[in-house]
Formats: sequence, structure tokens, C-alpha cells
Amino acid sequence: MRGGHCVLSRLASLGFTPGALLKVIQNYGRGPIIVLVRDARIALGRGEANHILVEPLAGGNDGR
Amino acid sequence: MGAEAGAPPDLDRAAAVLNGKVTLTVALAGQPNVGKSTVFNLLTGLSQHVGNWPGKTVEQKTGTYRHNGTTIHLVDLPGTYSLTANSAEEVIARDYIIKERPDVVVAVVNAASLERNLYLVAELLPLAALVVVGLNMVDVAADEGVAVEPQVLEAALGVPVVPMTAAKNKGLYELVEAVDKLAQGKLPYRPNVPEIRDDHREVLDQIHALVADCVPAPYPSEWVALKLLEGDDEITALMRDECLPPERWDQVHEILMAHEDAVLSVASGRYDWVGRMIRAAVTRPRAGQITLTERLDRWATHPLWGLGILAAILGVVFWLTFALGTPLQEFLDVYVVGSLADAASSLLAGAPAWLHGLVVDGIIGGAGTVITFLPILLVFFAVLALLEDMGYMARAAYVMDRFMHLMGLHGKSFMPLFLGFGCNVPAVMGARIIDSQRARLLTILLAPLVPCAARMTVLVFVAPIFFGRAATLVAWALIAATLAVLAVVGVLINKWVLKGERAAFIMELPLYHRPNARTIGLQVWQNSAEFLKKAGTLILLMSVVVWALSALPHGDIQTSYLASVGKALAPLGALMGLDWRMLVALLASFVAKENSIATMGILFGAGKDASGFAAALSGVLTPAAALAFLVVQMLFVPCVATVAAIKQETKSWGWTGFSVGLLLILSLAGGILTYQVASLL
Repeated sequence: MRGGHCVLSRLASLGFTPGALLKVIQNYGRGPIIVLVRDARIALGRGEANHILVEPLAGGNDGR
Repeated sequence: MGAEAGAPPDLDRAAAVLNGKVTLTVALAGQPNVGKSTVFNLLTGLSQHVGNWPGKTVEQKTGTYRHNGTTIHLVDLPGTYSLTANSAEEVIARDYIIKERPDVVVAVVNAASLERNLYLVAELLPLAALVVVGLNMVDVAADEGVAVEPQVLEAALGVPVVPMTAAKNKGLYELVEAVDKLAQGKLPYRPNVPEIRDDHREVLDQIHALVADCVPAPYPSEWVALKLLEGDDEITALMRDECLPPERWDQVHEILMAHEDAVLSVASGRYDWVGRMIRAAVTRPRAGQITLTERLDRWATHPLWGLGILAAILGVVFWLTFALGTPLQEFLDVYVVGSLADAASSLLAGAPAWLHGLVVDGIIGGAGTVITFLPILLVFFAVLALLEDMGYMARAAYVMDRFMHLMGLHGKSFMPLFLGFGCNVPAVMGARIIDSQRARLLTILLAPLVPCAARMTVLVFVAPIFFGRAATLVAWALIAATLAVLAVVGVLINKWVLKGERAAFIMELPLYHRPNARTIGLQVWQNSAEFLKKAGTLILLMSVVVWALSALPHGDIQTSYLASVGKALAPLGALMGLDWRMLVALLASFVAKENSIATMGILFGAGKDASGFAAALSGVLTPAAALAFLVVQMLFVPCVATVAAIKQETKSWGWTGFSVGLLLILSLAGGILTYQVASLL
């Protein structure tokens, strides 16, 4: 994860921490996306989503 | 729970009295969407007091509850995801716990997303308060296929855990019982406080050693060191500017700079702790199971269908509001306010004319008329509270996000702006939910451009007089035009007036769930009480002032001060085809938008008969001028209650003046343009 301190801190408290499993529920190519992380659905603007680097995993994604 | 059940209540009371403490202060903490307000509402009911946190525009709710002779003073902390200073809410919540030292902190957690919810508990435990975990929404979790064993969780956390379903009023007694017993030391309390990860243990110790002797009471020094490591803005400023000698701060700063990534490590450490806590307690659903929320969201958050659903829901909201609210409003207007005016008239028959005018035209005609709008607002707020409680509003915000982006806002601003269709005052107040200062200010500035129920009433009243069968079309076109102006103004303010970064859009979409009647009822009650309070104070006062201006000095409106003002503005009115009486009607709408109808009634001497009024009005105005009048009315300066709300929320006369000036210029320019163009046709 990278980005401004404030956004990072908010994302981290919502459960976006290195190594956390996340699942992209909705992404239509434009507009905000919906991600399932730690049992909660979070809507993220595309700009915010760009702070999160993910690597694919069988059946899910690995955020870092 | 670990409480020994069945102790007689009178023994409890005796113990409480013995401890010298029959009043407990209990803070209710929790993340958003955990049913915290349902718990608070069930316990406090109508005893609750709604105000603001000192010096902040964040709502503060307090209330009392009696339990076996113990008076529990309940304080509802703002819903926060963490206790790091990302927002005013988080600072308020932690400052309350640290500085006011409540006897017990109840952490309400949502069993359906326990992992994320326990993050807040991980932040609460190091604050050295007694914590009871209220494991709420057990039923919602079960619907999602998640099972939580409270005893196992309790054993892991070392603090009392009470399972409950607040929406069905289950488990609340047990919760309060646990709070009471814990406060009296009758429950075991060995909290498993989260430790920092090994990779930053040493750094934390270094910082702690440097700051420990400078940390002001009542902050726990280890906690301050941890917050410094997390880069917490408020604690950093406190230690740098007030507590640490400069050379000591330089040392601390050097360490912090070398460990800028610590914020993620600290958060990960807390989640590691949460993982250990829930490992044995939670049974997850089988993979691939499709839940109700997922099924509904396929439609509700779809870029195309989602908008269709939103449009349909809004249509129903408006239809319900006006189908149910308007007849009630008319009923109140004719039978309650009308009969009250008649009764006052006959009662004051022998009194001086000024007293008669003050009571009948000023107080009853002004503030009384405003109160008749309560049913319309009531229905509107009830339907919106229902949508909010079910979890739909977050979806509406989500599908509107793309459009709000054009104005530099994001989806969250849609919710308060939508409230504006009922009344602009709650729209301005509702902008509190937006976390960025800049987006919040912009939302407040745009809120008065949402056509409120009162303005729509004037529209519905005047349009048929001039446009006959095309009236509905004209009305819709004017509403659409007003919203178009809102969008353009939003884009322009965003681009030219406000500086600063665009806010991040990060919003939780809660699980859908059955609405709770009590939560909705209390919400509607609070909104209505707020409205009535305004009608009884500010609007009442302004009604009297306007009446006085329209009656002084000779008791005749044609020669009154108000008329002089209107006549002085006549050249401006000529540009819009409006005579001084129409200008006075617009000025009077500053008190309350629907006042323009009442004022026209007085000025045209049409009496209370609606058809006579219509005839008088259509004799004075051309259709082009009528259209110009409606345009000005839709865009005119916000009513006095909204102006007061803007001042209160922005804490700035500058921005309040900006809002009034902007709308004044917009409305006059719109009116002149409309009249000049329409006259050509």
C-alpha cells in the first residue's frame, strides 16, 4: 500500500493491511468499486483503490 | 456471559449503595452500522438529550436508564472505525474516554463483520477503561451463515461479552446487568490487551522512553507513544508544540521519519490480535453461498439498474410525501390554523387593531402557517429514515458517486442534499456526515439550491393560475432547471472558489436488514422537535418583525415600511416584469418560502378566497412575469432558518454571506433573463 498518510491510516483501520484477503465484488471499469474485506463491503473511489496493490490468488486476492 | 445469574436485585442495590456509587456513567462506543443507535434508543427512549459536543458540530446524545436502583447516565459516542485522529468524531470519542473517564465503556460490535469491528475494541482496551462488548446483530450474522460463540470470545478477550439482537430488543437487560456488575467489581476482568508487533517493539520503547516524562495527564504515556508512531496528527501536534522540549522532539521526529511505514504495521498488529481472538469463536459460511445482501446489491449498485431503482424509489418517496402530507397540511391550514385565527379574531374583537394584527396576521398567519408543513416533513423524514435504517441510503450514495464527482464531491454528499427536498435545514445539518471539510462546505453551499417542500408549494400554487394545463410541465421544468443550476454552480464553485484536495471516497455498504420502528420513530421525532423549536423561536420572531414592517407606521400595508422598500426596488422589479407587491412577497419569503403566498394575499387584498386571489394575480402579472417570479422564488436567498443553520454549521459569517449573496445574484439574474427571453416569445 502507498499514498498519503491520512488515506493510508483510514484504509488500514478499515482492514486494508498488508497480506489481508480481499475480493472485488463490483468493478464496471469506471466509477467506484466495491471490495469485500474482513467481512465488510467497502465502496472505494478509483483513486483510493489505486493506493492498494493486489496480487491474484486462487479464489481471491491478496492485498498489500 | 460470565455473570453468575440469579442474584436478587435488592442485593445488587445494597452493594451499589455500599460502593457509594448509585450513578454510573457509561459510554457507548462502536463503529458505524452496528446498531449502536438502536441500543441507545431502546435504553434511553424519550429521556435522551440531543445537542452538540462542546465546540464541535458533531451530534452528542445523552440519556438515562434505571437498572435495579442504579441510575445509568448513557453517553453515545460518535460511530468511528478507529481511535486515530482521522476525523473530529474519532478525537471526540477518545478524548471522552481519556478525559471524562466513564465508569464503563460498552463496545457495540456487529457479529456479522466481527473481524473489522473488533479493531475498535483493540483500540479501546489500551485506554484503561472497563470495557463490555455488546455482540449485536447476532440474527443478521446467522442469516449470513456466520455463527459466533460468545463464551469463547469472552474467554479470549478477557472482558464480558453479551450476545444481543437490539433490533428485536433481545439481550439489552443482560448487557446492562453486565455493565452494572462489572462496575461493582463482581465480574472477572482480565483484558487481553493487544501488543505491538515485534518489528516495531523496540522503536516504540525508544519513543516511549523519550516522551514518558512529558506526557500530560490524563493521557497514558504508552498510548501516546503508540499514537506518535502511527502518525496521529493531533497527538503529534500536542507533543511537538506543547509538551516536548524542541531538542527532545527532534530526536523523536528522527525516529518517526525512519519508520513512516509504522502505521500499517501497527494496524496489522491489531488485526493479528483480532485474528487470534476470533479464531475459535467464529464459524464462517461455506464458500460460494450467496447472501441476501449480495443478491440485492447486484441490482441496487449496478451502474444502470441501480440508477433506475434509485429513480423509482425517489418517485415513490415524493408521491408518498405529497399524497399523504398535502391533505394533512391543508387540513391543518384550514381547520386548525384557520379556526385558531377566527377564534383569536373574535376574542380580540374589542382589542386595539395593532394587537389583533400582531396575533392574527403576524403570529398565527406567519409561524402558524409554517407549522402546517410539519405533516409533509414528517412523512418525508419517516420514509428517508426507513431507507437509511434498512441500509439502502449507502447504495444510493454509491450509484450517485459518478455524478457527484463532476462537482468535486462524492457519493456521500447525495444523502444530505436529498434531505433538502423536504427542508434545507436538515440538508445543511446533514452535511456533517461528510469527512472532508472542503466537500462539507461545498455541500452546505449547494443545499439551498435543492427545491424544498415550501418552495414546491408556492410553485404548485402559482403555476396553475398562469399556465393552466401546462402547469405540471412548467413545474417539473422549473425543478429540473433548479437542479441544473445546482450542478453548474457546484462545478464552478469546485473549480474557482474552493481550493484544496479532492476528498477520498471510502464508505461502508452495510448489510441490508429489517428496519426498526423505534429507531425510525425517534429519528422522526427528533427532526420534528427541531423543526417545531425553530418555528416557535426564530420563525415566530421573524414573522412578528415582518408583520411589524408591513403594518408600521400607519397600520396600512400600502404605506408601510415594507412597501417603501418594495417601491424603492421597483426599477429592479421592472426588469423582471414584477411590481413592488411581488418584490415584497419575495422579500417576505426570506422568513419562510411559503410566506410569499400569504403576503401576496394581503397585498392584493384578495382575502382568504383562493379564486378571488387567482383573479387578482392574473390581472397584474403577464405569464412571462409569472415565470420570472417563479424562477426567482426557486433560486432566492435561503430562508432565515436555513441561513441560521449555515452560520451554525460553517461557523463563518463569511461563508454565510457568500451563500446569501450567491443566491441573490443567481435568482435576480435568472429572473431578469427569464422575463426578457419570455417576453420576446
